[in-house]
Amino acid sequence: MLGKTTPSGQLLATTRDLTSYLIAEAGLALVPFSAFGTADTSPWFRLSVGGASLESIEAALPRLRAALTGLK
Amino acid sequence: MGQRLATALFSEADRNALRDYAYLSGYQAAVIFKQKKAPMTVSKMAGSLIGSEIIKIGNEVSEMIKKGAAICNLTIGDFDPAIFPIPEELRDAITDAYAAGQTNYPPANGVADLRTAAADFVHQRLGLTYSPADVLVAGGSRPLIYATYLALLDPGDKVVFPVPSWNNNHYCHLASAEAVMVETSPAHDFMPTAAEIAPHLPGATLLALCSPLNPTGTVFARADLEAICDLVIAENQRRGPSEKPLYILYDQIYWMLTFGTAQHFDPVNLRPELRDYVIYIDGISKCLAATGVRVGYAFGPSGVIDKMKSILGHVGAWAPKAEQVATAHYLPNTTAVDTYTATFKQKIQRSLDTLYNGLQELKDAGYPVDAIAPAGPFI
Repeated sequence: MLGKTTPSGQLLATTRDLTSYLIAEAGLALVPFSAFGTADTSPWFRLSVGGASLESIEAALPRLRAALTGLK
Repeated sequence: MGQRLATALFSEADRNALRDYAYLSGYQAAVIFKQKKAPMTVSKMAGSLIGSEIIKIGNEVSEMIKKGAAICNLTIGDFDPAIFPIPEELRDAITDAYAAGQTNYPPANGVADLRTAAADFVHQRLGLTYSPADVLVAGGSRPLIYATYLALLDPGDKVVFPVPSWNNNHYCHLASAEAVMVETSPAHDFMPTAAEIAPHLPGATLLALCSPLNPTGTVFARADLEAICDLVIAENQRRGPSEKPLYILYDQIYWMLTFGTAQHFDPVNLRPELRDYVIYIDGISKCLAATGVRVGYAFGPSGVIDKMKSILGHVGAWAPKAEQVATAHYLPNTTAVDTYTATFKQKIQRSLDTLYNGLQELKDAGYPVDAIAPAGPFI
């Protein structure tokens, strides 16, 4: 997904950009692997399930799909 | 001159943006910025320290949620007590301990009953045999990892660890050790292989391993951990008696939270001759959803554990006494522990499956996403 552009025209150059986009547009907050010592461009994220309810996870999945659909 | 010029070129907003960026994107940028911002006001170590990136993102998200945003927060490796409360018996034992006046200093290495309970717990459940004297209790696993670093490393000593990795970079910084980061691959579930680690072990003092791994929730396969253990044994056989040996820090704080067919393995069970060189990091924070209760324990060779005890005694990073007494009371209650963890794991499993399946559906529909099947509480 890095290198893609958001509907508002912002380039997602690093996983930091992508993290912010997902929080704002998908209402889904993840931690990029760059926070765990890998390169800024590593495309992986940690999803830690202990802080969220099953319902909020279920509700976030369609939002994630919509946010990803918006990328060009 | 160069520094002043660089500062002048940045507006306050730019500086804030740079600081923000530096916070996430790395040590080097943070060092440069800090030198410009506040030269010589604090120690070099403190001036170049970066806080936890995870906690920072997590706090930002919590603020947004407080303001009413609907956000599914999967950032911090924590448990929402409304969804995942601690065991009732543990909660009651904690309040009972306060009522009974367990509010003075605990012993520096931990309440004796808790060290005995922890030793029995890992003996019964993992087959690891340690004397309660070789168990050290602290306020969660972090002080124990820090104490391991300080007990073993001189400034400039090498610490080898696979990345992604939780916080070993920060502990290297605190201990003035040299971080040797070994990139792992998704094809191997982000777990290191012996071949990846081998070139870095000569001259290293510490190999920091974690399984189930934070941040991926993946675990060591038996053969992979055996091969790594054999490297450490061979490296120590090569070293002379006057050289510091190579140690393993084995963070197994998530060991009870394995899922599916995943099985937990550890160095000393696989290679008993490593016993003098392995420091285990363990505790109740994750397996009992008790991250705020702050009871962790380490166990390992007496000579190292005793030094860690002395270090933490000066730091004062003890677990609160009432929580120690309560944990000592709870851990031997096998039925309560088993009942609790069974339900707890079932709930976590449902969330993991929902996420994993949802991401696989997106992948199948052509979206550029992928996920690794979880063996621990992360994807």
